[in-house]
Amino acid sequence: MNTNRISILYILLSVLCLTACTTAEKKVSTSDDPLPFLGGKTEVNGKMQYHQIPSFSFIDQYGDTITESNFQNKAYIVDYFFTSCPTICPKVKEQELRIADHFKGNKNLKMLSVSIDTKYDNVERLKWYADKLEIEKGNWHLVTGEKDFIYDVADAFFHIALEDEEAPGGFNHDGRLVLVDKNKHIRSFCNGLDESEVKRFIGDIENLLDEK
Amino acid sequence: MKNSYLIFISMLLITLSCATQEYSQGRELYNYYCSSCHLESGQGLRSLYPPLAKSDYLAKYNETLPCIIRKGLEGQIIVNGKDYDMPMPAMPKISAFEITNIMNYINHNFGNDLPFVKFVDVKAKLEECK
Ligand code: HEC
Repeated sequence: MNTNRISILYILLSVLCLTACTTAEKKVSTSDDPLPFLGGKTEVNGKMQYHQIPSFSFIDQYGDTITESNFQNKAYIVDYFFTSCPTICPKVKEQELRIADHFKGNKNLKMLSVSIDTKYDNVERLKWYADKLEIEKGNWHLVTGEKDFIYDVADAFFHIALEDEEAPGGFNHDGRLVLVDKNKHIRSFCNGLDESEVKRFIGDIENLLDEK
Repeated sequence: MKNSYLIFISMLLITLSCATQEYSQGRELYNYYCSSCHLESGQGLRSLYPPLAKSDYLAKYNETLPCIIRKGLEGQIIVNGKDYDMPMPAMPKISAFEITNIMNYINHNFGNDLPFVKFVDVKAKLEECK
């Protein structure tokens, strides 16, 4: 009887070990709860106003001017990056490619990657980078623009951008992915370095695209 | 009798479950030094960063890998039939010991089956590649 218990314990332990050593895949969030409105709110004439992305103007990898009108009636994902970034960018780009693959063919979702290296990342360089990532023409804009504007607007996009000689590659930034809805509200974000967070984020995007 | 059999099986399971943790030190170092570009899976990223997983280049130049890691790599290369052309930065501070660990991890992971390398050989190679 006693040894029987011990062996059951052993079996349990070994199953535990097995599950601990092989990383289990988590499911994409299946919650239907509406996504929150992020970034705080202010009362204007008795009405609640949620944080909105201000007007912007960038130039993308094809030399086209990109403003908020390119995102009319569309949700989009925003990240800050630079092409010579030796640290976190490749990983974040890997996850963005995963997201792009997941929503391939969906006309209601776009991507906006803003370079913070306004000196080096010109249109030609952005085109080169997009080609290397095998990004098809259409839904993904890699953009540059006026330096002060890019650094100032970062905050509204929930991003951090800093020039820093000490940082690898010369810039400090975050690996965040931010989801903006068709009414310019921020509805979700995630750490673009964390695969399981990105999975949850994909679930959030699905929910947003299902919204009326 | 039956019980000891069960115990034996579960012990076997325990060992098996953690047997994949080989070269764990190499993995830590790889994740620290290399995975930002070649990614944790060793798959690389599209046409930007070449894969280490089943890379014919890695197999062919395995002996020079200590120098590639220490001195970096520049110019166009072809890996598994695909062109890559972006500089890999040098890592002047990485030690021979760290390189040995990383190489053994790469050589025996990502579907690779390449030689086991020894610290003394890596150290000797590093002297050559100035
Ligand atoms: C900052 C990005 C970066 C980091 C970090 C990096 N590499 Fe590379 N690696 C590259 C690039 C880019 C190339 C292609 C070089 C070229 O085109 O000449 C490359 C090429 C290689 C190659 C030859 C091609 C192949 O895929 O077989 C090997 C081997 C390699 N790297 C191993 C490593 C190892 C080991 C580490 C960690 C010690 C490492 N790299 C860290 C970017 C990086």
